[in-house]
Amino acid sequence: MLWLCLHFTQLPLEVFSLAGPPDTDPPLAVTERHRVCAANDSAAALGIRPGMSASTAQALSGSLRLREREPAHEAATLIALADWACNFSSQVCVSPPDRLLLEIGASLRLFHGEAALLGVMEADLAARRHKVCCGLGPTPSGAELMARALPCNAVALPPWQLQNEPDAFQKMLGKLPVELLAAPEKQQLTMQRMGFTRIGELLALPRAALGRRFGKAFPDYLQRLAGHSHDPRCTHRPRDRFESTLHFLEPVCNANMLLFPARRLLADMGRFLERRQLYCQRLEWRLGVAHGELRILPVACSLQQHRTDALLDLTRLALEGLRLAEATESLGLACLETAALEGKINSLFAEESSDGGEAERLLLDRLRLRLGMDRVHGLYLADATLPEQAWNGVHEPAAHAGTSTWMQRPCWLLRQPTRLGGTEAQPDWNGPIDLISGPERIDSNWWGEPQRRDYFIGRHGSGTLLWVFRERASGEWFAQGLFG
Amino acid sequence: MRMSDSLLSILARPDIWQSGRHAPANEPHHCLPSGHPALDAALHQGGWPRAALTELLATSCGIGEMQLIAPALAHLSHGVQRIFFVAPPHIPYAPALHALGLRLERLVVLTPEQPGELFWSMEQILRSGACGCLLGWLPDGRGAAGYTALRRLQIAARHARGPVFLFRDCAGASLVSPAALRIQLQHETAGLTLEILKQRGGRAGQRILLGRPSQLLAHRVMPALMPVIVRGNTVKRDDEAELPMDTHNPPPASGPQQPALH
Repeated sequence: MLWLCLHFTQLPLEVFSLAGPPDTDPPLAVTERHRVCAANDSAAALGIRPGMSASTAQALSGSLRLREREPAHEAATLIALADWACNFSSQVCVSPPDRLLLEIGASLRLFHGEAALLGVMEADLAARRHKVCCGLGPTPSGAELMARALPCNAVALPPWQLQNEPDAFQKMLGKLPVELLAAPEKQQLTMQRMGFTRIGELLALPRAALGRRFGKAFPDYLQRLAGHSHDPRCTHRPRDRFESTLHFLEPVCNANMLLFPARRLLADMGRFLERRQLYCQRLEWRLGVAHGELRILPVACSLQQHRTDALLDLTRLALEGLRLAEATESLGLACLETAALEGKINSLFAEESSDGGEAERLLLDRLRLRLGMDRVHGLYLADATLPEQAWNGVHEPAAHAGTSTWMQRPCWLLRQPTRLGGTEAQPDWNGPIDLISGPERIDSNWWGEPQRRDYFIGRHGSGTLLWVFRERASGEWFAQGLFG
Repeated sequence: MRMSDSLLSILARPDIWQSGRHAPANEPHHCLPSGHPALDAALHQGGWPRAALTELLATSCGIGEMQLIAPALAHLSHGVQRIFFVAPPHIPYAPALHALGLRLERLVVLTPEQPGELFWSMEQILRSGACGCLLGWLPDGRGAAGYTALRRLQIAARHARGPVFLFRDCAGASLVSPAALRIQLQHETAGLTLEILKQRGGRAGQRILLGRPSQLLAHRVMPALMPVIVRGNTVKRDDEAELPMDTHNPPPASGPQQPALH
């Protein structure tokens, strides 16, 4: 067993700065109960230190941004990181508030050793702009302790690992100072007063004696640390659905500025879906506006694979239609519907239909997003006697099952039959209509409102051929179609 | 005198033509037979130009414009790409289109709300490369479709594989247009008169008469055949028998007739 502890020391800051553009790093400090609890490098250069009061920090620099700590955002970010860590290990444990524990002993062969694995993780974390302290140990508690012992951002093998001795970890643990132990402040003080400086001195003492002085839990902790007793942890289960939210440091008023965080979220979602061999059919953008309100922006995608650029293109189109009246404080992405990727057989020779399907789906998605779902439709032949019911608009054009009549039908159907004037023998629509063919009786809908009509083809003076009918009950003329 | 290289390279472009030199005729890559032999003979390429705008100018809808392009559409609908109807003036009636031999599942109907969306969606369709044929109805009025908008469409149309038909008002006939082919449609008693206003790389000014299908031009309805109006409750039983009831009759043929296109 080899445990890796990832300690995200800057997590309170990172929940605010992740959504921003990569190069800028404005001075930022996070406060908790009016005390600075974390400050980024730019703020530290201005003299901001953790533990300062908020007013002192503000007095030191006018450009400093102070934010209240958001434990809920930190927890969500840590869970997202745990999902990411599942790329490297089958056993990932979340150790709140800011640590992840990974059992990497089983992954070493896959990644060709510790150094290579750590290198991949470091590069990945740097791309995701997370700062991390790493610690390796044969026990979870030991790995946590090592993460505290080593300097931050040193993603490297610890000395005990390089010595290649079975008890190298124990030896190194014995030399480490007692301040690194995860013990309450009161116990730390007691240890100092008793003259303990190294952990090895504590490990050498009998358990019962330690238990009497520090409580029963303390010797148990030392046992787990040294690997003398089991250290069970809850394993993180990756989430089934993708949901992620980025919080902005400054409210965003321009929809174009949302595209950068949107691309990041889509790339995250792509990795999430790829691991599960899924693709997204419907996703939802959640724009957090003032007072915790969410504005929902749905995007449907019919591409049968995940493509970040195509989804970003659709997102850009959806954002174009949106007028950002108020500033956006967060951007969330949720994948609502997924489907399993189907195996695709690529043909040996380039065929006409091979890429046409994708371009066509993308085109229809774009059109539906811009014009509206109901303004893009296919045609369907319905089995109905009444002419206005003999067709249907369908969302997804498919092969139809209806049968068409052999009687003449017009290419154009008016949205509503138009009432005509004229006499019983000759209708009139801004000029008389000569009846040239007919009649054809359609008598239907007896189960509802009975319709009895006699249809004729009529020629209007302007040259248009009209499909007109006379309602049997009233004798009134209506135009229903045009022969195009 | 030797022409400069830059001039030669300009002349080699497919959208540049010289009036004295005819484009290679009857090439299936460049044109699609219209299904009307008289029209194909008048068009120097031998059919509707592919990947270029074709303007059809008509005063009103319903004078036979769909009959004119239906054979080509029926042929295209059996390909893999879709046929787009953008902003049609009325509902394209599925039973009639089916009877004309079109495969309905290849058709997509768009009804954009604003003129801006109309041109945007036409350009998107043409540029996507997924367009087999586009039928667009331009809004009425002289200023509705400016030269710039049409020029953009003409450039986008190069990505399309099939013809691009634009229907517009006759008022547009006097305006300059970048379309490769412009035909004015006029109704006559016997059928539809086509007047070629412009033909890129070919002669213009020909007039062709296309007859209406004979079923549509039956004789005047005899007054004796006019059904008697029945009002209220005084229903006469005997007048029910004089009319052919089509409500439950099956069609005589197994399917619609396919137009012969090669």
